[in-house]
Amino acid sequence: MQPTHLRRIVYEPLREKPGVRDMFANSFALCRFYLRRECPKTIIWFVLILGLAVGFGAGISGMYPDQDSLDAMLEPLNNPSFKAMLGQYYLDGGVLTLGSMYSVYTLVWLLIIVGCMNAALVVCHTRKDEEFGRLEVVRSLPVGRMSNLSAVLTAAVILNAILALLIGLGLGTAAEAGRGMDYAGAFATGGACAAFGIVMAGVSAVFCQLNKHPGTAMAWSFGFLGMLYMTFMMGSMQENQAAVNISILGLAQRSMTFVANDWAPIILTALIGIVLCIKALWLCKIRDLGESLIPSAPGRSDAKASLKSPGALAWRLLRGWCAFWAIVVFLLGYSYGSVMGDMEAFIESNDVFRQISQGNVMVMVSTFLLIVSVMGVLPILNFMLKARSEEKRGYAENILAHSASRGSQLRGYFIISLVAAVLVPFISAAGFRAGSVLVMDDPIPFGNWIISCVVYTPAILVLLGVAVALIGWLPKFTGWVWGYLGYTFVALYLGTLMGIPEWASKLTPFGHVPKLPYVEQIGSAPYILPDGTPLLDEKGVRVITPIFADEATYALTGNDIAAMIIMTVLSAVLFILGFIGYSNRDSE
Amino acid sequence: MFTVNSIVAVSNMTKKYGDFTALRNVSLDISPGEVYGFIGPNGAGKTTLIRVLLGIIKATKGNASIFGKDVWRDAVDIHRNVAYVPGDVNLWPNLTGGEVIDLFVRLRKSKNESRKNELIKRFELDPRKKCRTYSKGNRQKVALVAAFSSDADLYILDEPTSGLDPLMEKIFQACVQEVKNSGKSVFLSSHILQEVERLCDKVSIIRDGQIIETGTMQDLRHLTRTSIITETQQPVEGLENIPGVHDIRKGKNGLAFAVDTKNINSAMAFLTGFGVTRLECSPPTLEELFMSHYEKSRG
Ligand SMILES: Nc1ncnc2c1ncn2[C@@H]1O[C@H](COP(=O)(O)OP(=O)(O)O)[C@@H](O)[C@H]1O
Ligand SMILES: [Mg+2]
Repeated sequence: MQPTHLRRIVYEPLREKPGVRDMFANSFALCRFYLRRECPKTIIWFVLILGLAVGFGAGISGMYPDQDSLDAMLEPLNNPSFKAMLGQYYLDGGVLTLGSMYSVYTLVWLLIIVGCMNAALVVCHTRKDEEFGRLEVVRSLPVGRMSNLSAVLTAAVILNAILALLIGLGLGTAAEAGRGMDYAGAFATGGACAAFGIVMAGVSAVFCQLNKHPGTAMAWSFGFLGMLYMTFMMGSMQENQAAVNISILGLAQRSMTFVANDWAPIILTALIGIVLCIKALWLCKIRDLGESLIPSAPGRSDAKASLKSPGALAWRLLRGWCAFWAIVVFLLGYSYGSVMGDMEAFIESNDVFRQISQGNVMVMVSTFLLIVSVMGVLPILNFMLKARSEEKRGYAENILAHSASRGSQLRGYFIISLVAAVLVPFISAAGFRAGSVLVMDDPIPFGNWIISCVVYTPAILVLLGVAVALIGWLPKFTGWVWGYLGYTFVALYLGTLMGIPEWASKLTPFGHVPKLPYVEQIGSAPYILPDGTPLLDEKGVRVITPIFADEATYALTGNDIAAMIIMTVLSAVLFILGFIGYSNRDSE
Repeated sequence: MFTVNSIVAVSNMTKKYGDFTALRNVSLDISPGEVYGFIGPNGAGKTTLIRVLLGIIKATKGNASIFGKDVWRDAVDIHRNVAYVPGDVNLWPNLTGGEVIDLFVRLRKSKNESRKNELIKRFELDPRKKCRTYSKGNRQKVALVAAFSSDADLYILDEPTSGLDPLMEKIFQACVQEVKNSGKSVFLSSHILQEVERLCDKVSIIRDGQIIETGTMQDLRHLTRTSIITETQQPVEGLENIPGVHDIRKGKNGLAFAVDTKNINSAMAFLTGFGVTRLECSPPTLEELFMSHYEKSRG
């Protein structure tokens, strides 16, 4: 006899087609679950975004206390490099109000950050959960094929809507009333953010269907966002409206927040997002769980012949990161290079820059070089410290147990870091050149960029040496090298601002690097060019415009060269010490 | 009006991953109230079949139905009455085990709080710990509690004991028995022959994506051999003449041989004549089963 519960199933009529409701079964339950789970991360994102949007909204009236200070911004805003970075500004009744200034300064960046939040959210709960097998049990429950993705996308839409409201309320409240800032503009700003967020959620959802690995899907999403921004920059610079619109960032910007508050582009952006979401759902419906629409190449069954040394293994593990960082460093140089077109305007746009540069364009350029060079140390230290993290996670034991000497284990990571240390300055120089060549009338020759970047190599090597020495002798404290890098940045970059004494900058190798291009400073008075002409008159208005490609010198003095040789030798000593320490200490 | 005699019916199903054929013309039937064993070595295609049955991947060819409904088309409908425990349970690292169980139960909408608490106690699971801190066995317990506390008609279990210790394995077996006693069906995949032997009414053996043998455990007796190591007071003579005895080897620690399970009695009777001082039996393993399968099919 059949048990009663079986009869219940047996006699249910067979339906011809599964209902649409089945495809989305339990979607709302999952959505609630994701919203709850996302809560802590969401709070961090919201604090970041609201801090930026509302904080800047509150602070901007102090930056531009009167209409004169805003009018003075018109000239830089018309400058192509500014246009590229920030896009088109809009006048409210013929004047640049505080609201329109806020809009052009922050909107695109808010959009980008909101886009990142959405990409992270979607990839995390679709492809990542799938890749890690967490959806396996979920899908064995009465949960439809599209339920998970639709739940995540619904959660994204809800979060974006909440964010839009919070931006509207917060920004509307914080901003100085009048001067073109009001609640309507604040809500439009929030709306634009939400709409663009939905676009990025849809884009990431599509990429998650195409790619098997969450990392790839994430990289595609961020790459796509980067491409949108590039398109936006190009389009804005060349005043090519089609390109600006295609970048979607530009489309959202056309809502003219705080000026016209036109909701049509915002709604259009949101619609694009929704179409992308639907596309993603459709792609999700037709595939197996765990599969991707772009077939992923099967992994190798046996290691390549070259994967036989620990060094080769290190390369295998790091090569993706090498490519990633090469692009990051290049783009960093590129973005700083691209403001070279109108440096004077750039410096004057901001008190901080004015102070750092002391009104001198060339000092500003050398500061850019410093920033990019210090940033360029990040990948190098990152690669080197991988050796340590591998050791900590116990992977190194696999290798060490296989008769590879301890030194060779460290050597792989060291060689990669060393090569990176040599290459990074060239990559940033290439970035600077590529970014500046388009916008400068008289571009700085590539050779000059290379010299300016390569003078940092010995200092970079010293920091790498510190990392190696720490790994060898004080493995527990390897993280301190990050602190040293942070100190370098603070002492040199912010030092001028905060009045940190001269000797403090000499405690870091970067303090001994000749700052190219050279500017002979006469006396201690700033605002004076090498030939003695004052740069600004007593009212702070520029007297002459230096063409710094000609005026700056790139020749190194004997002292500079001596300092570089000493640093190189010091780094070699640190390397050797580190290796000696490493091969004599216990593995952990 | 139509009726089904099988809870699960698979006919001529093939699943390809690109060029690779993971399942080839697989057919099987599970009757109501039956515990069905699905046994095969790693990579044989057990998980693939289960994933097709759950409608989370699509068969390349052939039909599969559960409760008479198509596994791909009517997946959601089917899942209301199916409980599943994957072989490799992966959970959200920052949720507690209790939260995960509740989520699963809630998605199925079959709340049975007392049954859930009883199972948590029996499996000695601490539901307040984050999944990140659970071992493989503990994650499996989470899935087992969620599955057995739901009122399903079919339980699909994919190597559910691979991370459990022997004590927990006992409890698991008891759970399967209870489910069976209340007339429900179980589909249990495993690579451990004993487990299947102990629990299952019917067994299919799969290898390289093909089912090579199906029958009741009794039917498959002819394939199982027990390995025996023994020491006797007098040297054993003439064992090779006993039917069903194979692979006789004399070693330092005694005499080793294998005997077909159906001939075990005559072999034992013969041995006692020599004064047995030590006897070790090891149950048949899957490898031995395959060996005898291929020996039989060859000759
Ligand atoms: N997504 C996939 N893509 C390609 N091959 C797969 C995939 N999943 C499983 N396989 C292959 O199919 C075969 C059967 O796998 P599986 O069903 O997991 O075996 P079992 O569960 O019996 O150990 C294996 O050879 C496995 O490598
Ligand atoms: Mg398996």
